[in-house]
Amino acid sequence: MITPNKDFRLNPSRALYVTGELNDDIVARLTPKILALQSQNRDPICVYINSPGGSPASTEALLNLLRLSDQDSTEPCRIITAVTVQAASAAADLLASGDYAIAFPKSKILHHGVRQLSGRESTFESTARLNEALRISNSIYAMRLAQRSEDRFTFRFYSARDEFAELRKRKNEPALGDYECFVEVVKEKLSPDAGKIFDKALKRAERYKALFASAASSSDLMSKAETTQQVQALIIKAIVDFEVSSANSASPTDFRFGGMRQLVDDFYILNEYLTGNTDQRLERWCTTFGRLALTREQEAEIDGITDETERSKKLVEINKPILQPMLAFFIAMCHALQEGENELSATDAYWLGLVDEVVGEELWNLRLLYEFEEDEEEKAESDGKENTETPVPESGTEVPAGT
Amino acid sequence: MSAQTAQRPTESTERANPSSRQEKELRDAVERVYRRYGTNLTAFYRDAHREAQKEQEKKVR
Repeated sequence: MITPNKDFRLNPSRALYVTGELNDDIVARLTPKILALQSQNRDPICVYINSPGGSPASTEALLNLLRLSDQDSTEPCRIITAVTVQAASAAADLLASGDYAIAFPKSKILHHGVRQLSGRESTFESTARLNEALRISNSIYAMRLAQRSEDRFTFRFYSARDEFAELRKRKNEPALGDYECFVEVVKEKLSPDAGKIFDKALKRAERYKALFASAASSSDLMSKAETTQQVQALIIKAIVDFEVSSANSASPTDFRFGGMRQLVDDFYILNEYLTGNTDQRLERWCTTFGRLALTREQEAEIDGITDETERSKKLVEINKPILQPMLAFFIAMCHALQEGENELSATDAYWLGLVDEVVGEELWNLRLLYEFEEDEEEKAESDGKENTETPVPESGTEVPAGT
Repeated sequence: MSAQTAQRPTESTERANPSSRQEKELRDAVERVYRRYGTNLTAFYRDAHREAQKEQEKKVR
C-alpha cells in the first residue's frame, strides 16, 4: 500500500514558479508569496524550476527566504524542488538545494563553473584578481553543491549496493571493493556525456583520496591547534608534504609551474573536508543507512549489542571506511561539474546524486521508502517468496570494509 | 543566458541539515524496510513500484 507523504510529494497548491533568469526581480516577485505560504502552515513548499540560471546571490537570497523560521523559531518549511524543463547554472544549484529534488523526465540540468561578465579594460592586476576570484568561487560552489547533495548521493550508494554481488559474479571478481563496484554500476547507467564527467571525477578522486589520507596523519596536530591560522598552516603543510611524498611521485609537482595553483585548490578542499564537520556527517550516514551494508554475521553481532550507543559505534566502525572513498569521489565529482559545460539528463542527474527522483521512472527513491507499507495479504505472499530469494548477503560475499 | 558572476560567495559549511525529527523518521523508514527485506532493496523497490502502479490503475478507473 502506498500512503502518500506530503514531505515528498509535489503540491501545486503550495508552489512557487521560478521561470526565466534568476535575479533580484524574481526574488522581489516571489517574496510575498513565500511569506504567505510560510504563514499559512509549515507544510513543504514546492519550487518548480524552468530557468537558464542567473545570479548566485539572488539564488542564495531566495533559498534564505525559503528557509526562514518564524518568531516562534518553528522548524522551517521543507523545500521540494522540481525541474520541469531546464535548470541551468544557478538554477541547477537551486534544484540541488531542495530537501527533496525531483526532475521531470525530459528535463535538462546544466552545471558549469562560475562566470564573470566584464566589459572593462583588463590589466595584469585586474585579470590576476579575477582569475583568483573565479578559482576560489568555483571551489566554494563545488563544496557547497557537494554538501547539499551528499545525503542523496549516500543513499544512491546504499541503494546501488544491491547490484554489487551480481556485478562481482558477472566480472568473476569476488573481491571487487564496494567503491569499485559502485563506480561500475553507476557508469553503466550514465549517458556517454555524463560518463565523461564521471571519468574526470574518478581521476580527481584518486588524488583526493590520497590527499585526505595523507592529511589524516596531521589530524592530531590539528585538533591541538589553538587558532584558525594554525589549523590552516597545518593544512598547507600537509598538502606540501603530500606533493613531495611518494604518494604523488607519479605526477611530481613543480611549484613554479602550476604547483602553487594546485596548492590553493587543494587548500580549499582540505580545509572544508577537515573543518566542515565531515566526521559527524559520515557518522550520521553510517547510523542512518548503515544497516543496509551488513552481512549476516555483522547483523547478528549488532543485534546482540544491547546498548544503543555501542550499537551505533559498531555501525560507524563497519560503514565509515566504506563511505570515506565515496565522499572523496562525490567531492571530486562536484568539482568536475564546475569545469566546462556539463549538461545532464534527468536520469544522469539522478545517478550522480543531484536529484532524488525522476517522475515516472522506476528508480529507487526515498519517497517510496517512506510511503510503502505492505498489507497483510501481500506480506504473506512475499514471505513465501522470501524463502527463495536471499535478502541478506551470506558471509564471505562481502568485501572487507574500505577496499 | 546563464550568467553566474564571480562574486565571491561567503565561505560556508551551511547546508540544509535535516532536523532531528526528519533524521529520526528516515532512520525509522530504513529500519522498517530493513526488518522486512534485509539488504535486498531490489525486492523492496519491485514491490513498492508494483504497489504504486496498482494505486495508479485504481485512480484511472
